[in-house]
Amino acid sequence: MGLSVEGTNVKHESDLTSLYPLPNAPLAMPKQVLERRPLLAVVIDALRSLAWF
Amino acid sequence: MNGRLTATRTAALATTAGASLVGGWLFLRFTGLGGLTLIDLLRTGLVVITGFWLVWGAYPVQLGLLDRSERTGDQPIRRPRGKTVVLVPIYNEDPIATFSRIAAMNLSLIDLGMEERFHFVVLSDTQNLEIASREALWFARLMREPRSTGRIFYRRRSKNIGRKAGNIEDFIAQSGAAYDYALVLDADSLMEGEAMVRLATRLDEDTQLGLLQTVPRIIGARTVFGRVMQFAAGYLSPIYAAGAAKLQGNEGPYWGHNAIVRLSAFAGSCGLPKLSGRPPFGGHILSHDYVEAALLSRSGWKVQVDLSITGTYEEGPENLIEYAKRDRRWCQGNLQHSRLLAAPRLKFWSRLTFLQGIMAYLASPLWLVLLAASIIAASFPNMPPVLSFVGATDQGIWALSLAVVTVLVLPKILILLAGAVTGRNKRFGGTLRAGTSLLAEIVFSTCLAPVMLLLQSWAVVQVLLGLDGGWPATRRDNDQVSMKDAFAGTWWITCIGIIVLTITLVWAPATLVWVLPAMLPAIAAPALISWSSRGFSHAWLFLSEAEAAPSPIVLSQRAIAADWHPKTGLSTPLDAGVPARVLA
Repeated sequence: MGLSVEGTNVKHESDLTSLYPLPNAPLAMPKQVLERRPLLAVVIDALRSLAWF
Repeated sequence: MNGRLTATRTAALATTAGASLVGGWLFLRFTGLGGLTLIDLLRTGLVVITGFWLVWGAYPVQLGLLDRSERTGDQPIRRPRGKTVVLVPIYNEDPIATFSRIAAMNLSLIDLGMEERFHFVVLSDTQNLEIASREALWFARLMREPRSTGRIFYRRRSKNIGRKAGNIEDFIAQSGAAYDYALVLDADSLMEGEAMVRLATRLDEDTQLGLLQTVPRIIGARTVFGRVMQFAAGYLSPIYAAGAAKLQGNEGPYWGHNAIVRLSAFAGSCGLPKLSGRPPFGGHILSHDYVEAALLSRSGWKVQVDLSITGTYEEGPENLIEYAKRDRRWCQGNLQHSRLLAAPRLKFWSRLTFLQGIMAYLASPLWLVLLAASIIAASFPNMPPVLSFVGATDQGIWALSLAVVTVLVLPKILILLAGAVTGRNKRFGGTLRAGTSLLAEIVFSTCLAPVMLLLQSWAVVQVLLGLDGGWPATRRDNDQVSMKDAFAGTWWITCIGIIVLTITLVWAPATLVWVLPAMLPAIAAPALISWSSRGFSHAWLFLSEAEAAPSPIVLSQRAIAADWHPKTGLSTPLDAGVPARVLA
């Protein structure tokens, strides 16, 4: 792998990805919708977003 | 939406639109002599558009000067109820510098006796295996710091999918439920333990607050360029940010670091999709922070910026080439936001923020088109008019020019005057020193403005054509840019300057007074870049707050880095007593 850290046991890339494991506590992160909508929906949404006036 | 915020926003937009229309009117008065040609109408349109964003950028200062929140919190700190993970995403960084910052922040929390409420996680996306191995070594040294076991973690992804946003998302998917809040830092971020505690307790107190952004001060600058940026960021930016916060309300900014997020809100709202199509407009979202702030707002969470929390720091680029490289990335990220302007259910302010970010880069080519159109108009004075115009005078252009200079310079002068009255200037060496530094900053930024204009215009063209940035490699261990390197990066700016100046002299000498101030710095771009990268560490000018009274965390980090650094005699952490079996 081209690693040359003398005096250590780091020999392979896998040695560098499995050190000090993180807590195992998954939290779902669902993908959000940001695009692909009909033009009418875009216009209606733009009008609604002006509600702060 | 409260009435006061609505009124503030409406007044800001109306004032800005009014000022840009007046600018357009003044320009018409000048160009209308002998009737308006098509090119005159084009130029007027450009003046109105670019003028709008110029005024919009300066507007927050007047609100910021009225703000009283830029104070170190006098309230005693409380133990946070929620548990915070401090995330430090890194990508091919110097591990000694990064990990010594973590060690300093850890000690700062220990001094407060609140370290058990905070864990640190290094999220390495480092792709260079040599650097990755150094990270492993120096992390082992970090693990010898007090209270590190079970509180400080490291993990590395062998593929940096989704870059920084993907890195953080990967952590949340694996370990997010173990914490209530995530304090997101950059590799060069540094924060006092007290600031971290205040951030966490703010989220404790306001359960609707999804994200709280601090305004980090730039520290550690060593060159002319770096120290000018550091001074401007410390002296001017907080006032701009305070004013902008009054406009943003609960739809505030996220700059991607030195900010705390509520993990349940972030996970539920900010899973970024891969955009359809290919880069630069498709693929992973590059400037993810603006989008994440917009998504939190969309889900009903408050996103705020807090000026009262001090002791939050970052480092900045030390020369214009490094700055331009970063700017090139931001340019691509911001232009990509054009895909998201019509995203469903976004708040109006989020859309406006996207548009402002896009115009921050599109304005540069528009200014260039205005300059080129003006040279063409002067070169062909007999173009047929399409409209007649009553009330034309050649005085209009001077009034407009004065207005532009006022918009650019007056906010800075007002900040200086306000600082003299409130005593804020004392933190920057007094009014004489701050004023002289500000004057030098105005001269410096004016000289660099045409260079930046051309660099940003080229960045926009590169993004639109899908080209690589094309910058020559710079040595990270040396801030100084040689004339050779500066010329290799900006020779084309010099050529454009010479060509435009020649065309103006031959065909449109009447516009020389406008073109000369823009093109002389362009011609001298390599010299400017090389000169401004020279060391300027302890000069009288550009004193920042952090230099005048270094924060304990800054001193602590420097001491730790000096203790760890190989120059002190430690060639590897093994020399510092870290056994090799730690890495087994």
